[in-house]
Amino acid sequence: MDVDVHMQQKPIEPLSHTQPSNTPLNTIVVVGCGLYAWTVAACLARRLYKTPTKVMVVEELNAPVDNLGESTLPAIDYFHRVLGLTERQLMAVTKGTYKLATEYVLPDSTLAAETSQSNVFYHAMSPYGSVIDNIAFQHHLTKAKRAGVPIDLNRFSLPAAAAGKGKFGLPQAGAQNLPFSYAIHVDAKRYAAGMKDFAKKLGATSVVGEISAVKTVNIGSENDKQCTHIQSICLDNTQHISADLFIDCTAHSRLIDQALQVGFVDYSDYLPCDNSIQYVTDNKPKPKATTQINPNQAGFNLNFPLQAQTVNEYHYSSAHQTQEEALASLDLDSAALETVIFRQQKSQRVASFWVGNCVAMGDAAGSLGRIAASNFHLVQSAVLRLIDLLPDRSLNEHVECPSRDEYNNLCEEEYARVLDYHCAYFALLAREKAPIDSPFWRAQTQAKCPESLMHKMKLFEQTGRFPFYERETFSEKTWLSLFLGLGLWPKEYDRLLDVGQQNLQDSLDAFEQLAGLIDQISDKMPAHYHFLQQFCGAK
Amino acid sequence: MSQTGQIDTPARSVISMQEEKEKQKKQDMQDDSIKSIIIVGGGTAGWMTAAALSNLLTHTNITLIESDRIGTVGVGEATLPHLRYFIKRLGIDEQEFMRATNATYKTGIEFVNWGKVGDAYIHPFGDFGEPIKGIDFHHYYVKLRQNGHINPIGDYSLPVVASKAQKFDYPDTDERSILSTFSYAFHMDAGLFAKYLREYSTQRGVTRQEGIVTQVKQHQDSGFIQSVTLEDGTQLSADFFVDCSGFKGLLIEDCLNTGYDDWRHWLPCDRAIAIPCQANTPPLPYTRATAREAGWQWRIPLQNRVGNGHIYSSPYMDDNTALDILLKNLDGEPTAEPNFLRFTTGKRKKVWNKNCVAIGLSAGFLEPLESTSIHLIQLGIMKLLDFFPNKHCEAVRVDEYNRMMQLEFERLRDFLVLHYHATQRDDSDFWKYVRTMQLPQGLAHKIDLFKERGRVVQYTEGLFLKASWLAVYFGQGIIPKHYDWQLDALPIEQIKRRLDEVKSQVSLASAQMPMHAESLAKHCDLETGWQTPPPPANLSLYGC
Repeated sequence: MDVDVHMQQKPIEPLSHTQPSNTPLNTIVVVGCGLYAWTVAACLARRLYKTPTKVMVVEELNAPVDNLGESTLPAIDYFHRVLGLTERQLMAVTKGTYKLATEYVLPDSTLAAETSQSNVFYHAMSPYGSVIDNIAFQHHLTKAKRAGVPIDLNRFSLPAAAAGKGKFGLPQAGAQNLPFSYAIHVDAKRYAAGMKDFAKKLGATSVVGEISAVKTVNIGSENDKQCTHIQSICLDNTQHISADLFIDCTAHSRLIDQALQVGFVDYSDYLPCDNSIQYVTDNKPKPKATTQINPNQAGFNLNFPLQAQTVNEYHYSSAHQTQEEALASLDLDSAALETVIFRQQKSQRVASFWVGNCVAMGDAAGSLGRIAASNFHLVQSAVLRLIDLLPDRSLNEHVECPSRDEYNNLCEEEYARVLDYHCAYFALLAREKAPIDSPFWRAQTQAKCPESLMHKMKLFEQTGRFPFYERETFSEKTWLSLFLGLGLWPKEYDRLLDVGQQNLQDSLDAFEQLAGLIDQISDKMPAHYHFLQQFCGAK
Repeated sequence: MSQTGQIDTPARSVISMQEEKEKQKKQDMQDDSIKSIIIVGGGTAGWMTAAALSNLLTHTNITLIESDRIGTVGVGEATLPHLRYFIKRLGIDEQEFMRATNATYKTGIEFVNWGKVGDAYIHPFGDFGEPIKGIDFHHYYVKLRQNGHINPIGDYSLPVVASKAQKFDYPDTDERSILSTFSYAFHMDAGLFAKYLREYSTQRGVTRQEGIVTQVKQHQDSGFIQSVTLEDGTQLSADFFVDCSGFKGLLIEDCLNTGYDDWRHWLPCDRAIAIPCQANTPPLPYTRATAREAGWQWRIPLQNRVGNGHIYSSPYMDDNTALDILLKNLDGEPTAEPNFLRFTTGKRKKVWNKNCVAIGLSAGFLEPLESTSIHLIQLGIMKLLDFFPNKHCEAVRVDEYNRMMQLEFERLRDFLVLHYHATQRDDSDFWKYVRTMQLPQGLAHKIDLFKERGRVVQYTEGLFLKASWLAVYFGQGIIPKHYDWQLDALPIEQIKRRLDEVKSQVSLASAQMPMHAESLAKHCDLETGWQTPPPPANLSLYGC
């Protein structure tokens, strides 16, 4: 273990007021361990490489277990490029697989009949369909739907169609400019180890220990919590670690809540799943490039493949099932039982993401659950945002900090939009009746959802349009296919469709032409597991 | 595969049954659909609305009521690049439009004496440099400044450098070319534009009704507008009404009592005098806004004359002084009598109320400092078409429209307020007031964040994005304390070399462009214009 200059046996002097303002931070300390913490550290180390600011990680001993794996969003590609990492290497190192779509299983027959012939909706993260005669695809679809034509959305997206066939390929020049995007699934331990390795190569240091105390100082008026700053953290009652800026990546908000008492905004009314059981099973033959989501008794199942095995998560509400009942309901064999971990995580977010000189990211900032694969995405977004707004050393001298205000504004807006997306799953699935007949799902038919989501759904149903909200993580096209795929169709289509010469048959012909093309191209793609074997070191 | 193979194309017979069903449903839909629209008021707002509606709502009866006895406000008008998209959507040939309205090109606005007396900068329709290694260009610029290399940020913007040299050419459509880094708009005669669109609209079935509205009748239960009565007793009813009656808001205010938010404490100018004069030089490819003692003066070059106006705050200046100042600062002899105007900056509380939408000055008025008037008309029309209602005008639809327009007005307002507030001027009570006034919520934070960290508070929907805020910040002396920390890893020589390259690329590109007057003559000439068609239009201020 390297001895770091910032590890000191006694606390440093109170924050000095003689430091020149407008000088870069000396040290940023990331507290936590596992995938989120090391990703944050790696990104900081990469972007602040060769600058005077040093990055250090305090690896917490006895931290709660990490998730087994992560299902990601397509934006991770951008993040990896910012870090200068190549995808193929990453896939080999993390035993990852590809993700073309979220595979929603819609068990209720009426819902399935509403949306498609099959009871599975492959939700790809790129637009469905194409513009026909200058009018967006959705209007043609809605018109056909209103005329009673059965619609299978999956046929109008190349990634969705390919996902359904268990295929994967990279978008080729011959793909006629069909929209295409994908994300990945990774093994959490391996990914974390990779990031740790990467961060250390870029000069990040680390220290391991148990946090025994957090020393704070108030730089403003006595009672203002916003003015409380962290001066140092004490490890194992011996080492004191000080820094200009602390990032809390602990699972239990050790700094932001336990030390600074920021508190939480509770979302359990909207998102009632607060516990999960996670375990691995052997892969089914030819695993699809999807994350599958399936309603279950007291919540939902989520699973995705890694190269050798499948990660399974059952997210449930403890108000409806005890841990024993939940585990029993899964009926696992002994091999799977050995891999089981339990995680508790209420749906909530910290009341302030950045207080004083402490920023919460990952689990420390709260969680909205796993449906949208957004937790990891929000970490990436948070660290890039922090680098964008990185303050100078006067952070610990002045009460005001415009960077901090801006950071908090942006995070709040971002979380509100992502919250809507999570709630939409429950709201849409239980819109008319419970998808499975269980107390949990019956309760969802009456459940509350945020105003902003209500407005979005209502406006869409009435007009086929989306309200404009700033800071959406999921684009309008993604929302559109989510709504249609989960059975919410607008009452109106663009009136221009009836003004022009186009009749319904023209639209249907265009549908068939597009679906035929997608069918052809997806047929030619290699099987997902073949692709992994060939390019990503899978056995 | 089973999933994709399952649905065969339905057989023809099924289709015809479905088409029957669809026809039936369409009829059901049409029972609620709007069959007639009355637009009250001509002028730019009225005729732009009539033109767009008649182009897209071919089955709807559209009547526009206006009177030759009521003057319109539109004078020589400066526009934004978005207008190109609008006329394109109407299927109007851009060069024909330019001929019809005596238009010249515009690639920015020059602000004179704003930050302090003697300052001048151009807010261009284009960005400053490009991000390098994922870090915004202006951080490199700030680092360079801090190392003693001080030159205007405009040196890195092609539209700024070209404007100053009186150059203009169509932007390149190849995104890799530096010649693609700007967009353009027009200066035009708004009266001629309205006349042109009147012709366009009446050809597409719009009925023009001469007359003055004297009475408005509402439905008893709903309060929806039912009909309007003219001076001569003619009564006209419709399903939907558009109020383009100008400042007074004949329908939206006089009838529906919607209410108005007064923003004069932030934008204190409330008077204007407009006057055209002779042009003694070739037209400049930019608008000029010169700050005066209690307001500012505009200069808008047309093909045949120059439009001028002095906009001022009545508590700080009387009409005669304002007129004197204006007349002393004209390029040439006035060609008409001065036109005196009064207004209250602010916004109607709801621009859509019941079955009536206010478009134009009836919706609100922000002063013309950044040429936003026609843009707001265009936006009002486009959003109305996006959210076009049936007879019921359901609340969810109306709410969203109002929410979006409110957001746009507020964002424009804040950007305008910045121009007044970011100043060192203390040479008059007017400037002392605006320099120290209480800012709208959020604007102070925006300015602080830029001062501290060089970050522009960003939004996605909205007219003026990062490049515009940068132009005004740097142009009016708000310079960030520090650049992005990541630049500490780069030696200053390397940064200087890189920025010098950009600067010389810009000046080379400008040198190769033809003069504005030359391009104008070529594009507006019937013989030569068609040989160089304009580039595609889009809804961006900053080029492709």
